[in-house]
Amino acid sequence: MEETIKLHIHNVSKIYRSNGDDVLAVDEIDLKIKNQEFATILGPSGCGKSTLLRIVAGLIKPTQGVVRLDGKVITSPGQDRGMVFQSYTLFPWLTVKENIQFGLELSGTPKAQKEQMAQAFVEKVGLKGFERTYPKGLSGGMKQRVAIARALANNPAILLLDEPFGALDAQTRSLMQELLTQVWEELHKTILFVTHDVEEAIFLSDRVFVMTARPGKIKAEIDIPLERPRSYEIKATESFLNLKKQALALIREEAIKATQYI
Amino acid sequence: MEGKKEKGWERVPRKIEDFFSPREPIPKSLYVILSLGSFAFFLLIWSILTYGGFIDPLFLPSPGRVFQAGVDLFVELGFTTDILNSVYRVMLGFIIAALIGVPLGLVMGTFKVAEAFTEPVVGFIRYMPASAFIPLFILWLGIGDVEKIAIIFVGSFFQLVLMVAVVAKNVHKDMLETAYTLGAKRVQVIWKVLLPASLPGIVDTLRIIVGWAWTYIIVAELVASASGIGYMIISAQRMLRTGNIIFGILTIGMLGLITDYFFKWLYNRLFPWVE
Repeated sequence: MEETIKLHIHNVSKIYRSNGDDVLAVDEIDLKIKNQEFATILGPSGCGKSTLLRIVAGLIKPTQGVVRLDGKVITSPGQDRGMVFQSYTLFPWLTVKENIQFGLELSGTPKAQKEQMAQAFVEKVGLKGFERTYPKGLSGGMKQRVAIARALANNPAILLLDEPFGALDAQTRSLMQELLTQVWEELHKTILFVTHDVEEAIFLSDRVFVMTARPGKIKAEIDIPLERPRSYEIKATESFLNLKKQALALIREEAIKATQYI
Repeated sequence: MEGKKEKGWERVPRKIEDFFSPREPIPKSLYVILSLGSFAFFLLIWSILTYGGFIDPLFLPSPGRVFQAGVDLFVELGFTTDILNSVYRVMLGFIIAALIGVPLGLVMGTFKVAEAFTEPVVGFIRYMPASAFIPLFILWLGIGDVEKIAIIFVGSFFQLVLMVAVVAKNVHKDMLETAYTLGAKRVQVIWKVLLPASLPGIVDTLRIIVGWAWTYIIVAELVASASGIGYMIISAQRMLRTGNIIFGILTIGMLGLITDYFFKWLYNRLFPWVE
């Protein structure tokens, strides 16, 4: 069961056309994400990793290749792929609980069940007592917790996270990573996570794919055999630091290349 | 305990200069005093000029005389009817413009197809001054209410459409995309995300537009009319009743202020969630 392929990104390329110039953003990427795996795409900024995630979400169409989820080709966005963005995308006119219920409402879930599920997720992300708060009354970290709960409440087949903690300060970021690990260890959803932060990638993932700078290709694949459950203390262990050293070397090369474009 | 007050913490003393630093906040009480002070200052200058006998009352009557003119207007000259007439015309023209303009603006800001089709025309007409339509509309529609309402409509509609379109366009794309990934269909994205996200901007636009509508109605009533605040002002000019003119202008100012406060109140009431 553990080894079945959940998501197959099959030979996907994306060419953007801007002012008559063709820009190759994603170059023939082939990735297989296993069921219940926490996989991360690690790459320097502007490497096309967000583009790849958006293709998986169905928000943009690849120029070449297909993405299959549970064997079915993805053609448009759908509730089987929940997404969390870096920017705060909560609906400001809805309370925390109403935000979490948004997807359930669309799918016509009965009221009692909707209430109960939303409440469960409010508690899972540690926001009990904030059910009736509007997003304007929440901190950045709390907003992202709601965004994660909202995506999870929809019970997607896979969760896509596009640098969800990118706008948070270092301390909050670290706490959010722990929260996400806890949630994942409990629910075992398949997750595809995108980040440029090496430590974050290693701490969270089962497998990390390092992407090259423009055009984005997969450069290396690093298995993260660290034991679970993980806590922040693991970041100081030798095995963690070795993995970090390995990933840093790979990503540094790419970051240097990326700066040469600017 | 040197330099410390009997109670509380030691503080750096505030200086008057601090209030003149750019964007520096000031105490609320000072803000209110200054706001009221501006009215008082205006009234003081007016009083000095008139009661001091520096200006002929024919050109500028004293505050007392203007007040008396106002009382006469209400008691003897049926000014209430004029006000109600003007309010009726402004509101009807404005409501018709809003009923058509808001949906059209939303469509224009949402669909590129609609934008391409309507924006050039609307953008063109917008630059034609509403007051220039008055002679044409008198020719077409006569000098009754319909003509006045048509002027209000032309003056507010085209601006309104473009402003609402901008509001709809400014709704963040990530928010729409999030809705899609939560399973929303296109129609649901429009009704459940785009519309609620645009509403505060729409109400704010309406507030600005209704202010403009007030200026158009007066122009329309000045030209050819048998009632309304503008009509009263132009009649007063013929009789050299300067006090009535000034009272008429002040009345418009008050009505504008009341509508503005109403919309602000509505905004805070409807959208407690806005940051």
